[in-house]
Amino acid sequence: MEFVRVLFPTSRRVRIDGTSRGTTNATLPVEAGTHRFTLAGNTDYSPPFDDRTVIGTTADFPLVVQFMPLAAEAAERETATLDAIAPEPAPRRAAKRRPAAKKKPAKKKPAKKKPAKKKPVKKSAKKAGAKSKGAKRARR
Amino acid sequence: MRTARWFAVTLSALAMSACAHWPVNPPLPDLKVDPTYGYRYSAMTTPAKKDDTMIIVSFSGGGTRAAALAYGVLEHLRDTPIRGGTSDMLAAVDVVSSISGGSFTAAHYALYGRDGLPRLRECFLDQPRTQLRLALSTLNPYNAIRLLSPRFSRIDLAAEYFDKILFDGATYAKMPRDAPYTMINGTELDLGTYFTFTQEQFDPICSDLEKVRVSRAVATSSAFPVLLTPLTLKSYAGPQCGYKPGAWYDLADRDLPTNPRRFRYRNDLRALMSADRHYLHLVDGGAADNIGLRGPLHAITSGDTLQMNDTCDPDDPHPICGFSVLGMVSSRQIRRVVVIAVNARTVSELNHDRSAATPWVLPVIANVAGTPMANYSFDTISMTQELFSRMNAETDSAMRRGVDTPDVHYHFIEVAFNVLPENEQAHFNEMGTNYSLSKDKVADLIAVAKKILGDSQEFKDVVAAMQ
Repeated sequence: MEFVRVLFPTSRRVRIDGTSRGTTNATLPVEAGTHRFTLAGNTDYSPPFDDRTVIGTTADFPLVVQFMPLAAEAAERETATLDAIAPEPAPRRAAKRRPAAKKKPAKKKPAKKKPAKKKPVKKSAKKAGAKSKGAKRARR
Repeated sequence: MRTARWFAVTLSALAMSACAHWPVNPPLPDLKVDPTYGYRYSAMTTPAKKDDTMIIVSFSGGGTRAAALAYGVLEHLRDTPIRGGTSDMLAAVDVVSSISGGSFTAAHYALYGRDGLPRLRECFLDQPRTQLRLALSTLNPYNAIRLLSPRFSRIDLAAEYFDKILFDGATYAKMPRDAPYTMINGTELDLGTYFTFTQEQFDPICSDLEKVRVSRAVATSSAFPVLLTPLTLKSYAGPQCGYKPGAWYDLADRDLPTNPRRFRYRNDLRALMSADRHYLHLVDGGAADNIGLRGPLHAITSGDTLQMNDTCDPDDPHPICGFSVLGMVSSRQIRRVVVIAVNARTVSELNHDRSAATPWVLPVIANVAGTPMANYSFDTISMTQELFSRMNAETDSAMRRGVDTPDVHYHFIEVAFNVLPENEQAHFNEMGTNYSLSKDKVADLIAVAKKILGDSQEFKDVVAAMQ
């Protein structure tokens, strides 16, 4: 006998292999093997289903399957997208330059910082350029 | 003139023989599976659907010995009051699973209830000549001619005889839906797996159990190989009837490394659904499971059922639920699972050990045939006991730690001769597997079943919990 806990912010009926088998956030007994986990009722959650192989669990240490409400999931996805768009290289560069800054004299620091500053400038330059061209067109 | 008469007689005999055919199980109405039609768990109004206790009783094989032992258990359950005397244990039984000799008691109780118990005793248990009459029926000229047909055999004759003495031509359509869900088991010859006479099992072969006589199920269950021939069922399986197993079916295809039992269950179903198999040949249920526990054990440990559209949605006013005890446990519909295994197994004396002579061929064949069956039965009992104690320990541990999991307790009670003192065991071990036990022996079996069950501490605990 194996055990699984399906996490969801609210109490919903859990379907295992298409059949109603208990509720979310409780520890449910299941047969060992591969099972499809879904929630009954509205399909306002993500992922739409989760296929998992359940083996080697106990009631104290069940397999955890997590579903997210679609709204929350969309918000999380948006945050992830924004994080991807945001200029992430900055902290990386800083991390790489720190040892260099320690080894070399303080005078060289500004010299190295210049190209670092240029990079984001280059990326944003295109956008800025596009904006300025658009602005020029608008002016015309 | 005489030659002409003999010619006419021979010709008519041949014609009769050619006409003889086993009663063909019909296809489903319109050859379409209806998940709500027929004798299936979903259609039953068993007590577990009203209270929180699931009681499963299994009756083993063993001829009249097994039937009488099962009868004694039913009587003791009837005489055990619960809920302050307003009900009894027999009324609380949800499922009966049976094999071979035990199937006579199971089927008769399912059809005629507690009021039919005296009739079962009078017409079957207390009839020491049943076996003789069955054998003599083959000598009847009419039957002898019919037996010449390749499509009519001794098992069909046995089914007719059981119908005549016990079941009055009742089909599964007459099985009451408020009685225990009765699983009469045979063994599918090719697959070597148990085959249960329920509509859930008949859906994959697209056949209608409602029109099948109960006596044929009982005859199948007791079709001891060689003595009785296999019983044949026609399969109408194919995509046209629209049977589709649940989502577990495709997922279980990946389970060979993690759960080979589930993988095999899936493959057995695939074989049943095959349109290439036009007939199923069924033999004694004891060949696959002589205790009758394998079907219930599957339901206790698995959510996989043969029921089509098994969503078991509690919001549905008429939910379709296949028979899965595990499903009921996880949905917190039941808090107690009780299995009473009535095991009529006897132990033969170790006669071979007393002689240096090489054992004769027939006893060797009998031992070789019987030993795997006995070992498998022993394993089934041991497996159930181990499983239950593990699950109880798991639940207790989870409850102590405050884990939100179904609080369910499992009880296993075995009614078997091995709990008796050795001198008493010997009396029952001498009783053979046949349909020719004397009335005294039948009375002893009924009495000992009541004694063993009544003395069981586990049974006392269950009764106390159900007050």
